Amino acid sequence: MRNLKLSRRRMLRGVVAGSSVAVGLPILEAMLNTHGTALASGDDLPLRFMTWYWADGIVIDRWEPQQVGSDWELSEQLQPLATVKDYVSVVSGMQNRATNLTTHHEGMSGFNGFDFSFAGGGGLSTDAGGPTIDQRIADAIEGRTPVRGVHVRVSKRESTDGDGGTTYIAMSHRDTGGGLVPQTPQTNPQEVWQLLFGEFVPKPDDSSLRTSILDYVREDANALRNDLGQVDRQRVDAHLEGIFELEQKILATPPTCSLPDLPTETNTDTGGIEPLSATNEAMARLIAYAFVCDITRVASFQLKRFVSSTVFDEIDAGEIHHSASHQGPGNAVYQAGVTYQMQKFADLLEIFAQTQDLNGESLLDTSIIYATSDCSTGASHSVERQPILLAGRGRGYLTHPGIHYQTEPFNGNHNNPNASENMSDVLLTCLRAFDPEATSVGGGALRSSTPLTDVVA
Amino acid sequence: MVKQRTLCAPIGWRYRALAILSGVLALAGCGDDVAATSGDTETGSGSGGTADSSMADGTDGTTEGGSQSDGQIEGFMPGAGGMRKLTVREYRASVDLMLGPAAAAAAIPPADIGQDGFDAVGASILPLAADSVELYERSAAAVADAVISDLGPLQALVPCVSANADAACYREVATSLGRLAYRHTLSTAEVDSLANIAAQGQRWGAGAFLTGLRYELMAILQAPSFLYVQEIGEPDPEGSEFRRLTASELATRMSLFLTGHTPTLELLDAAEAGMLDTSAQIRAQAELMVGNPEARTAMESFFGEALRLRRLAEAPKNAEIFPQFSPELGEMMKDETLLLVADIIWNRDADYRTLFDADYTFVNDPLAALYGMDPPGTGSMFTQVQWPEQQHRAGYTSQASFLTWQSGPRRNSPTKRGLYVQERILCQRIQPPDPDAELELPDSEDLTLKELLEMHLDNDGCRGCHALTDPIGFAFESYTAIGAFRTTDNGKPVETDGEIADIGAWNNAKELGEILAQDPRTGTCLVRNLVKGTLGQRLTAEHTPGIDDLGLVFADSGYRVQALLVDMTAHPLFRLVDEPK
Repeated sequence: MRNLKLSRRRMLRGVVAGSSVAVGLPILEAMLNTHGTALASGDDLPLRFMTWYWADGIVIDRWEPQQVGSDWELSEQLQPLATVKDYVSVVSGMQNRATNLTTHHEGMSGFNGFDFSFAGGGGLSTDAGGPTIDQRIADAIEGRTPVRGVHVRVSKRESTDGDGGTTYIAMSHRDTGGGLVPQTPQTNPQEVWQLLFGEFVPKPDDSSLRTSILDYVREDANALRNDLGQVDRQRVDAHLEGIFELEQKILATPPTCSLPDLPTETNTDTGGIEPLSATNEAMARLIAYAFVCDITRVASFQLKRFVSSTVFDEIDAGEIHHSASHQGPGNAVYQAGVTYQMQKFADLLEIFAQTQDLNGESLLDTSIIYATSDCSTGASHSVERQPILLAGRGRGYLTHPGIHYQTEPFNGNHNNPNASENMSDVLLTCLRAFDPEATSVGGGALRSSTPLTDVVA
Repeated sequence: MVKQRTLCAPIGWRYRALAILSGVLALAGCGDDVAATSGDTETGSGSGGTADSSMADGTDGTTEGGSQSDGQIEGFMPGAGGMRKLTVREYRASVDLMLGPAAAAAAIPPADIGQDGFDAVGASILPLAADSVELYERSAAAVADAVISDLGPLQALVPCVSANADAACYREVATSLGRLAYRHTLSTAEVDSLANIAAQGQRWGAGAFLTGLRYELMAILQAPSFLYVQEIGEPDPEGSEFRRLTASELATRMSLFLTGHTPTLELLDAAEAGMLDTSAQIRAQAELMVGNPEARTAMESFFGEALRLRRLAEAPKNAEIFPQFSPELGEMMKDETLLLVADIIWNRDADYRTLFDADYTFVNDPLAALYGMDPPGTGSMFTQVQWPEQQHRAGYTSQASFLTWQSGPRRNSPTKRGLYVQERILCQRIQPPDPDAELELPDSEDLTLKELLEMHLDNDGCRGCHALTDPIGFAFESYTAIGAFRTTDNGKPVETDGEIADIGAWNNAKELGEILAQDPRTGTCLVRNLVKGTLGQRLTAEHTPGIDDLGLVFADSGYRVQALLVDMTAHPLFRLVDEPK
């Protein structure tokens, strides 16, 4: 039998979005050294990173705060962040320097500092550039946790318009040497629970059998490889990488924390309506728990895909959010949809704030969360004035309380907004927290070698 | 810094922009840059052709003289060889074939991710996310547990299997089940590996045979030899510059195409015995398979994907405007279309193009109510009825499934409806809009949607692009965003007449449907979609000659899909592959 140490657990009660939530917290003294200043292994206390994506832009003058610097106030569309404002810095006026444009895709790929390339499917089919920022950070801290990263999406809805290529299907793309592998997200919280915690459920220890099978699977994959061309060899390599990661998990020392319960939420429609808030919260709790247990330190989180047919039923939108975005910045449904997405982000941040980390701080104190969208003005798909939020304190790495950094004031033209500097600078800021030696991030016109230091403590 | 943006006034396709152009109609000021930089392999280079590569060599499907498939097809190039992953449906059906329905029901493989409009294309080109390997392991364990709990189906294949079997039986499992799973005869080394895993499992399980069997099954089900279909081929004995699928590769491709699962032992035996070598042999085998009910299931799956029926239950509709719509009604819309498809292909073996001009459909009471017909009184059961004459409906594009999916939550989208007809029924490529174009199509209290759209089309450079989609969509303005009949929009009579140069002129949806049914591109487009949706090939202009040729064969058969399925298996585009990708 695998010897899993089960620790006591305590519950913190809090209120998220008006509903009572219970965050089960592991007691993790065993993970720390005697002074509580480092992990028992001697490693530094863990820092976590998450990317968070919302879709189809903002209304610039309702989203960007009026004031800059440390004395900023929440704008209309940022009101939901009131309870966690000190943990948020707003970065506005930055440019996405993408040179390939087709609408939305350039923002999704620019999110991570790269241009897309046009893919074989034609039309609105593009392949994302990468590796994405979460994967750069996962590379920098490789091997410290049993799970490399977790990738989730809340809305299951798709574009009905034929968007394709890898840009559309994932927000995380890993470079495995031969090419990029899209890490397609999971939409069912129970599935996410399985991937994060399922391996550590006490059960008869058949790990040697499972790794023997994986050895056989690896051998079989390698035998196929010889007959294949470059595209399929990369596919075999991606499969081999998956085998390696599963092996690492099977062989990992089980975490000393107790495991959270399997969530009841399965993200199943009721009467054609998606349970967006419940799924968002379930995903946030799972990630928070996995972060504290140090099962993984990296996550990507997509509220909905760009151009998806998602309807924000909880605010009675009655219209596809993407369609509403094309009614222009003055459209009330669109405006409410932007604020709604900010509320979902705030819900997640509050769960992090209420989750106690190893040494008594909140998980928001010990994480960095980079959030942005695929455009500024949705109606014109503008990639000027990228709306960026940087949340968390990053164990003192990020400035606290947060500030509003703005490159230049908004020119008032929603469809042709002004912008300057390079949004990828923020990515390098994030990467440096994990890899102080990192010299650049991104590629092509979006590449940055100059981190934004104003948001650093 | 301010990037200058073209202010194209707004409209409907994807609710995002006006700038749509076709490859042939190079319309000034409308997306030229997009076309130039798109790298769109389907449009191809040097063709100067219409929107889609199926037209790229200038043929329009009406060429006299019929197919060249008995001889050389000029410029022919087959799809790339290589490997493709089993789709979820193929994986489940193959587990069912090998290990029975309970095992198939237990299978939980990672979800498909489509590309180019079809899951099969995604399965052919996308690398696997790391998580998926774990998901395949979990699925293998679930299937193995189901097999252990009821040994019947496995015993039918490997009679030595029982709770008290001896270790030699592990080798028989590897040999028999392994061959079925991997579609080849296992080498001694492969059998050894599997038997060793089983023996290790048996030791771990304190000598229990079934414990060892569980791990052996898990190994087989996780093996890339099972999960990925190999289509490498061998030098073509007939001397073409391409590779010909090996006997077992051909058997596998035929089986996935016509049954949805990997080949049976009988088919593998026949293939390996040289009984699938000649065109006549292949055709004879294909005819047998087309006669099997599994072919219906396979085609239902294909059309469910091609006609965008799979997600109708989640079509977003505004509940105040369309209180009648529900996920259940969406499912019924899907069933209606599948019934029409099955009637044309299987019940009547009729001209495929009837799908677009049929004067009848299938309804139950809720759908009849939606259409404003007298309910047949059959409850949820479907029955065949004539379309009411005054509604001017014909075929699939008059059915609620199409009208609902190609609409918004609140109102129709003539652009979306027109785009589907151009791209998915006629296989014409319509370029995406200029990324800088803007859409702010307002609501209106007194204008019809057509008037509103046309007013905005007057902006520079935008009309020409939307002229390829919107007029088609206007033909369907007699039907709401959930497919109900209407005669007015915003209090004014709807106008459904229209004309597009290379399609024709019509007064209403029925006449447009009849035009689509007569258009030779409609048949070739089905061939093209079949190659993508079942063989999983990402197509470029180079593949056009083969597809056009099979399109002519299809025409010669009177556009009978049953005949097409047989003809396709014997066609060079099915038997040959290019170098492994």
